[in-house]
Parts: sequence; C-alpha cells; structure tokens
Amino acid sequence: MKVSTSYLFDRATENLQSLQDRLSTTQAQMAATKQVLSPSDSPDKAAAIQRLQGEIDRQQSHANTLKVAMRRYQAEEAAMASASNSLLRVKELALQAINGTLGQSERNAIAVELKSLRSELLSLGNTRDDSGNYIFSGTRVNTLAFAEDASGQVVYQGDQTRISIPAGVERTVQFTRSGVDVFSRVIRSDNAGATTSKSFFGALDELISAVEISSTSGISRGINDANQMIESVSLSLAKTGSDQQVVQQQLDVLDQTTLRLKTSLSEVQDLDYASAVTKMNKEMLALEAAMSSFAKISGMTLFDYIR
Amino acid sequence: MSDLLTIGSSGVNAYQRALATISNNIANVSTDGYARQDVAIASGAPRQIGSNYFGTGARFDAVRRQYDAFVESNLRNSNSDLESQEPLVIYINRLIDVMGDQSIGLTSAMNLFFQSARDLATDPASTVARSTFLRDSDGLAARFRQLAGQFDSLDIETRQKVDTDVGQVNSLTAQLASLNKQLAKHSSAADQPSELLDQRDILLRNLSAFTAIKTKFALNGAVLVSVGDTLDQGVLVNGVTSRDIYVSQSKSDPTKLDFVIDPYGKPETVPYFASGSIGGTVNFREQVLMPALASLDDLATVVVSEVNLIHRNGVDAQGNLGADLFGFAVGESNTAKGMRMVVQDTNRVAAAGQFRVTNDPLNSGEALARISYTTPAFAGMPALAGSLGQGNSPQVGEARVTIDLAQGVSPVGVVSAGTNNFQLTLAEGSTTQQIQVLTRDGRQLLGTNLSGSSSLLSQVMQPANGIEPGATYSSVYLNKSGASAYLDMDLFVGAKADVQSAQQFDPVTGQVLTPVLRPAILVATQPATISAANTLQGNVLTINGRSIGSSGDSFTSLAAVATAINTAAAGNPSLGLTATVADGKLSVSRASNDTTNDIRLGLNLSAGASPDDLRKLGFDTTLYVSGTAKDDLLLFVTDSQSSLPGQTSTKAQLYSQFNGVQGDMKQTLRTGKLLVNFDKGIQPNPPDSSKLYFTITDSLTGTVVAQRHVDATISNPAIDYRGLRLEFSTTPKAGDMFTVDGNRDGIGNNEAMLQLVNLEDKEVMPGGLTLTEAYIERVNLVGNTARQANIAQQALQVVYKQAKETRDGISGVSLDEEATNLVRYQQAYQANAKVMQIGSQLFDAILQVRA
Repeated sequence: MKVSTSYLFDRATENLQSLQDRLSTTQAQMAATKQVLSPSDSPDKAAAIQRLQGEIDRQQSHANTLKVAMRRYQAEEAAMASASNSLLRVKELALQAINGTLGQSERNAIAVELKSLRSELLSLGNTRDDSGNYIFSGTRVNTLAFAEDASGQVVYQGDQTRISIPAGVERTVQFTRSGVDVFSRVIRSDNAGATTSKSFFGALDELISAVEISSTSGISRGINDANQMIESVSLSLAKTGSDQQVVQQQLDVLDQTTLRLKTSLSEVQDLDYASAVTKMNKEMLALEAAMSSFAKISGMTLFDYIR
Repeated sequence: MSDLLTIGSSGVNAYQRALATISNNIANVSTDGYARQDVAIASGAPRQIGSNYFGTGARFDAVRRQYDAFVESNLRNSNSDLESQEPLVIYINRLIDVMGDQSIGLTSAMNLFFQSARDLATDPASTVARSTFLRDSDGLAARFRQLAGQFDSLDIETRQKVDTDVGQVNSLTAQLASLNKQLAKHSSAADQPSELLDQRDILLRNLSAFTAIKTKFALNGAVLVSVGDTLDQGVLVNGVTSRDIYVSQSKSDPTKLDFVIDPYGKPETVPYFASGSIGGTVNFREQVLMPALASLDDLATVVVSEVNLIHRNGVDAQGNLGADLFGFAVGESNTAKGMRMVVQDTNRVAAAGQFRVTNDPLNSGEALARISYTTPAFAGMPALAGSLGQGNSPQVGEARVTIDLAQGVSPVGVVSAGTNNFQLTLAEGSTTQQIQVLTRDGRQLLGTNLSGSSSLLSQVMQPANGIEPGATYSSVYLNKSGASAYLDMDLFVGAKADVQSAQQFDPVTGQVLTPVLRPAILVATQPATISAANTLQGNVLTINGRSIGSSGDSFTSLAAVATAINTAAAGNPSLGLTATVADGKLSVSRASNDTTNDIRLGLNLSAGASPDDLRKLGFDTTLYVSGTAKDDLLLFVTDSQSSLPGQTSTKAQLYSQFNGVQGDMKQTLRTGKLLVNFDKGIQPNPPDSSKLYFTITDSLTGTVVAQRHVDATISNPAIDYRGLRLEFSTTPKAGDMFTVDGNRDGIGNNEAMLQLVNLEDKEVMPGGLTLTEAYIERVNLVGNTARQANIAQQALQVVYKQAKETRDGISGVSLDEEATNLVRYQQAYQANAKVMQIGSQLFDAILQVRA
C-alpha cells in the first residue's frame, strides 16, 4: 500500500498532538489532585459526584442542626438541675416549718427564704438560650414564659406547641419544651378522692403563706406539692438527658455516614498519584519516541540518494 | 517511416511529457484535494515491411487522474459522519460542564436552600436565620435563571452555527453549479482537465462536512447533489442550477428549526439532516438541549409551586399567612429564566404552622395535644347541586332536585364557609316541602325539627351527606336568632326585603358619590292564591318576628291579611310597617325616612307553616343567610308526605344567588378560637369507660359547634374537625380542656419550615424522584449522551482515517514514488536520446561509405 507523503506528515502531526494533549491532561490532574477536572472529562461520573457532594453537605447540615439542639438541651438541663436543687431546699424548709416547736419568727425566716427560692425558680423558668429565646415558652420564644399578673399570680404565657427539628433522613428530635411540662401543676386529692389541680407557682405561693400563718395543714399539703414538683422536674431532666443521648447517637451516625460518603467521593474523583506518575512517565516516553522516530522517518527521502 | 531517429524522437517526446507530469505531481505534493496524475505511454502503430511488422516507437497516450469514485464517496460519507459528532461533542461537553459544575449547577444551590431552611427550622425566631434563608432562596432563583441563561446562550449559539453552516452550504452548491457549467464544454470526463475534477471533488468533500449528501455523476463529470432520501428529493445542485436552503424557527414547535429549499421558487422542506455538522448541531438541539431546557423548566415550575404551597400555608413573624415565596416573570424566553423571589422582607418568611393548641394549665390528665391541618375530603357533594354554586350575583344558579317520597329528603349540597349573603329560593313550594339547614356536626339551624322522625334524621345524619363522622344531632340552634343563634349567624326563611342602596354618580365629574339609601319594600312577586277556598291560617306567618293573626284565625283575602299585618305591626313598640294591597298584590313598606330596618315575612315553622302559606300571599319561600357564612352549611329539601297517588317522588325547583365568597373554612378556623372540652358534666351517668365525650365550643360566640366522643380505649385518640386534626399523646381525662386557635405570635413555631425541609426528600417529580434527584438524573442523561458521543467520535475518527488512507493510497502523491518515476523516465529519456544519437551515427557511416 502506498503511503502518500502528505498523509505521512498529517498522521505524524495528529499523533504528536494527541500525545501532547494526554500529557497535559495528566499534568493538570496531578496539579489539581483530581481525576475529574471538569464534568465533561467524565460525564458519566458528573451525576455521581453531584449526588455524593450533595449528600455530604446534607450530613453536615444535619450535624449543625443537632449541635444547636444539643446546646439547647444543655441550657435546659442546667436550668432544670438548678430548679431541682431549689425545690429540694423548698421541701427541706417546709419540713422544718411543720415542726410544731418552731416559733412564728423562725417560720417567718423560713418564709423569707422560701420567697427567695420562689423568685429563683421564676427566673429559672424564664431562662434564655444562646439565641436569646425563652426556652420554656414553647413556640412563643420572644415572650416571657412565666410572668406575674397584676395580682401577683404567676401565669404561663408560652404555649404547648411542641416542635421537632430534622436530625437526619427520616429522623426528627423534639425541640421545644413547654414551661408547664417542667414547672407543672400539682394535683391534690381530697378525702373523698376528688382531684383538683393547682399551678406550680400557685402551690408555692400557698405554701409560703401557710408558713407565714403557721397553718400545719397548709404546710403538709405544701410538702406533698413539693414532692410532686420535684418529681416533675426530675422527669423533665431525665427526658432531656435521654434526648441528649439520642442526639449524640445521631451525631455519631452522621459522622460515620459522612466518612463513608467522603470515601466514595474520593474514589470517584480523586487522583491515584502512583498510577498518575507512572502514566505520565509512560506518556513522556511515548512522546519522545514519537518525536525522534518522526524526525528520522521524515528526513528519509529517495531524493537524497539520487545523485 | 520507421527509422531510429523517428523512434528515438517519439520516445524523447513521450518521456519529456512524462517527466513534466511527474514534476507536476511533485510540485503538488501538498496541494489539498490534488489527485495524483499518472502517465500512460503507448507504442506507435506498427508498419508492415514485407511480411514483418516493425514498431514505430512510443507515443504519449494520456495523463490519467488517479481516482476511484467509490473511495471518494466513502471518504465523503465518513467525513459527514465524523463532522456530525464534532458539534455534538463540543456542545454537550459545554452543557455538562455547566450543569455538573459546583458553582453554576443547580445541586449546590438547591442544597443551600434546604440547608438554610433546616437552619431556620431550628431557630425560627432568629432574624439572622431568616435573612440567610431569604438569601439562599434568592440564590436558588438566581441559579435557575443563570442556568436557563446558559442554556439560552447555547440555544442562540447553535442556532447561529446552523445559520452559518447553511450559508456555507449555499455558497458551495453555487460553486458546484458554476463548475458544472465549465464541465459542460466536454462531453466525456476523460477529456476534462484534471484540475476541474479535483476542484469538484474538493467542493463535494467540503460540502459533506456540513451534511450527508447523495451524488450522481454525468458522463462529463458534472454532478447532481441532493440532501434527501433519494436523488429526486432535496436536490441542491442539478446541472448549472443550484437551490439555496433557508432556515427558520418552526411555527408549530418553537424549539425546532425548519429547513426549506428554494422557498421562493418551488419550496421543499428538508425533514432532517442525517449527519454532517448541521445534522450534529440540530441533533444536539433537539435531542439534548431542548429536553434539558424543558426539564429545567419543569423543575422550576414544580419547585415554585411546591415551595409556594408550603409557604402560603405558613405563618410569618407578624402572624400573617405566608404569601408566594417565588414567582415567574412573564415575557422571558423560557420559564426557568423568569424565576424570581417575591418575598423580600425577612419578617414575611412564613416558618410557623397555622394552628396552635394550648392545654389548659389546670388539666389533670397528662395528655399533650398536637394540631395539624389538612384540607378535608368530606363525602357527599363537594358543592351545591346543579348550577346553584354558580349563582354569584348577578348570575342566578338553578337546580331541580328530586325527593324520593320513601326517603322524604334530598340533599342539595353545601354552602361553603365564606359565602356572602347566600339566598336559596324554593319556587312554588308545596304544603309539605321544607328547606332544612344543618352543619357538618349535625347542628340543625333552620327548618322543621328533624328529631321528630327518626328515619328522616338517620337519612340526613349520614357521612355520605357531608356530615362529620361521629357527629350528633342537636336542635339547640334551630330557628334561633340574635345571640342565641349558631355562631350569631342570621338565617331566615320566608320573604325578605332589605334596605336598598342606589349607587350615585356626580353628573358633572362622574365621581362616585355616597350611595343613597331607600327604605325597604316587600312586594309580592306573583299572583296571590288566597281565596275563600284556599284560606290562610292565623299564626303561621310572622312579620319581623310577630305572628300575623292568632291561631284559629282564617283569612280569606289579601285585604284581610294586610289588615292583620298592620295590626301586628302596630303593636308595642310599633314596627313602623304598612301593608297595602294594590293591583291584587300585597306590598309591605317602611316609613320613607326608615333606611335602617328590613322587612321579613317569615314562616312560623314551629306552628306548622309551609312554603304554600307564603304562596297564598304571592311569595316564594327563600332561605337567607345574611352576611358571611361562618361554617359549612348543608342544605336539604324535605317532603313530609308519605305517599302520593301514582308518584314515588316529588320535585323541587331551586334558585340561588350570593355575593361572592370571602375566605374559606380554614381562614374561618384561623380567625376563630375553639375550645375542646372533655367536660365532666356531659359524661354519661353511669360512666362509660370506653367513651369520652367532649364538646367543641366557639369561644367568641359561645356556640357549641360539635358534641362527640372519642374512643377512650385507644392509647392516642384523635379528633377531626373541618380538617383540623387534634392528636393526643394519651387519652385525656374528664375535665381536660384544650384551646385551638390560629397561630399569631408563636414565632418559635417551625412547622411550615419543617414541611419545606421535608420537601427535599419528597418524591414530587415524575418517576418518583425528588427535586435534586430529578436534576441529577438529567445531568446523568446528558452525561451519558456526552459519553456516547465521545465514543462515537473516536470510532468515526478511525473510520475516517481509514477512508482517508485508502483515498491517499490511490490519489495521494508519494515523493519516493515520484523519485523512482523521475529516475525511470529520465533514464528512458536518455536512452531514447542515445537511440537518436546512434541513428545519427548510422547515417554518418553511410555518408562516409559513399565518399
């Protein structure tokens, strides 16, 4: 088969060009440490890369959400732990006050301390989180959870709407805690077995006035109430604790998922240096060989030998 | 003469020409499209001398063009195929780089949008989170616009490329036509100058780069070119004429391009371009770009409608219902390009849910309630029968309902909450027909007490009529008015005339003036049927609440009725009404200065009044719901006659009219305040441990809108009321109360945002894909096409190279070959010259012999 002279040159040019192109691609890949420089380099992988990248971002975002929830739970926990301590002190004082040997002035002293505990509990009920939201106001986060009305009665101003926040795919955790779930009403039953309920601070106020007027029955009812209060705060404390545990577990899951996704992404788009270097050497060798062989072949012509 | 000199000189001549041809080949070694020329040398005609033939030397026969028509056509075809892949690969790569890029692709913007929605869901009250959400929403809209803009520029660019390519084709075909003209000088291709034929082939090859062509060569080498399926269709060059192609946007499908040959002569549409760069570009447009653009538009539409739906159902930081978050600007070349963000104010981001439930702080039960709203799907008629629902003033709705006498009732449908000033007229109502109005919870508001007939009651109280499951019947609000009426609504049946208000315009300026009020006047609409044989009983009709006549009275004429009305109206205090009879018609009017009170001629339903009683006075019976309906009202027409000779049913002709619809049930629920009360007082005695009874009371009017029970044996019971769903964490205790109202200040509520977050995983796109997946799927599709195009291009490159190699093997110039030939012809030339020299020496020898 005859090889025409122009075809010989054309083909050599094409071959050299494609070799150079490949070499420059390998070089760029090494510089960027990426196998896929732009989606068109590997169009079939573009979709997979986008999917994985999006998934990683999402896990990150879930983790951020969970960290916010964690901070909120910790704020709740701190407030409730203090409330629990205060209530224990309330009970202790009430037990002291019921002692029949106590005089009025001693009871008055106890009432003073009880009042200060009441205002401390009130302030704990109005704790804010790091974003400035009242944590026991339900969703009325800008409204004081417990406020005193004109008659000095403490009223709950929040709501009971419980919201949950996304914590992963198909997974939510409860977020707001209603103030009346923590500082919840006490239930009293009379001798006939009928039940009435009294609000948290209302019961506390009654205890204080019972101590002030030395009403033994009032104080003993107050001790009963205090027990219920301690119980409800402890229950909420336990709930926060278990919520924190759930969130921590979810965070661990997210970490693992992220790691797995990152590994997959790296497999798809990252460059294997060892093979890239080998490849580059091979390509350089090929280019050199192509250049020198072309120089020799193109220099050969019959005209040189016709004298 | 056959002598050495002649023979030698013939050889010298022939090889001189051969050498010239070879040098021409060498000179054209790099000329594009040059076909190598070969030399044909033939022996001269022999001469007979005696019985022998002697050769007469050689002659230069012809310069032959090294050419194979089949190989050449093969090269053209493979060129077309290869060129068709090139634009495909280039444009697809650009498209995938745009779609798959991190910074301009949609995935990252979509992820950011959902991320900031999630952040906002964790802290809905935060202004920072709100403005971040707005920024990322705007980013999403902007990304849609940018992406659509990129698609758009690819659209314009490919369109321009097609235009340019078609222009080139037209220029090439014109050149071919003029070449054909030059070829016409000779009748045979063998006589044609090689250069002309070279030129023809190179023009054809250039043409094949733009489109696949079919060719047919005439004997003289002139060519016929077509782009159709056969040589008869889509002819571009025929002899000395060429036909131009014109491109235009298709009228039937704006995404496509139309190609017409010779539009101003004999127009012929080219259905498609099989290959070549035009074919490739068109292919890219139709198979890749347009579907990608369409899917982007679809995606934008779904994103906007889904997000808006959620956002509209949310409540913003100021307690108002959310508005559309996104919108589309009109007048853009495609939908996605017009995507805009509508909400600009951070406080208008609707993150909160619409409803809220508050447990009474003194509840003794542990039950926590959770509220949600879904548009209810009640059984029964969704609207009013016939065209009654279209009776928006000034239109009049109409329906004819059939009442099965065995059942005695026919549902007429539902008047939706929010309907203004609804009226339903029962034309020519009989003595036994009645209009009945109930709520979905079985509160009867108007009509005859249904509890009188247990079979009728059970016919009406069916979920199939739109009654809430579990609803109980109550007649507490039956035919009541004022504060004791249901939700303080004003329902009235009879004939009513309102104060009239006439619109006034200033005759000079044309300005609208305050409407002039005219006193109400009630005039009979048809002839009265009252007579001595058809008397009207006393106490069955009322005038503004006062009964006309007393029981035992029997009126035989209109005049007697008018007198009775005037007597009733004159009571203490006076109603200020006057009844008169003129032209056989009863009319009741107010004093000329009374522009506040209406006139109501009503049916005393408890005294057994029927629509027929009003007909006696010339009136049809109409149900009036004044103002806005505050609840869904179920309408029925009953017929109390148990049997009618020869008939199993009666008919009722109904007309309706109302003044528009304001709001809906949901809006009504949001503005109201409902108290769900598991009141101890309504629990049965002895107690029923499996049922817990409750009432739902509208706190603003004190109306008990529902009285039902929940199954106390279920651990987490739920209550449904008009689409609201109240779920309890555990069974409530008797005495517990829950308040449900519209969310106005629950700024920390994140329900709407939570729904928006869930949209990320919701399969809203066709094929069960989420929004992001749908986009990635499209990237994947384009990516696969790009990959296929790349592979095809590589394969076609091999085919093309082979074709080119074959062609060059035949028509190409090899310098080594030419060098050989040069030496060969040079030697032949020198040998022939030597022959001439020897001939000359022989001649000299003969001359010397003589001397």
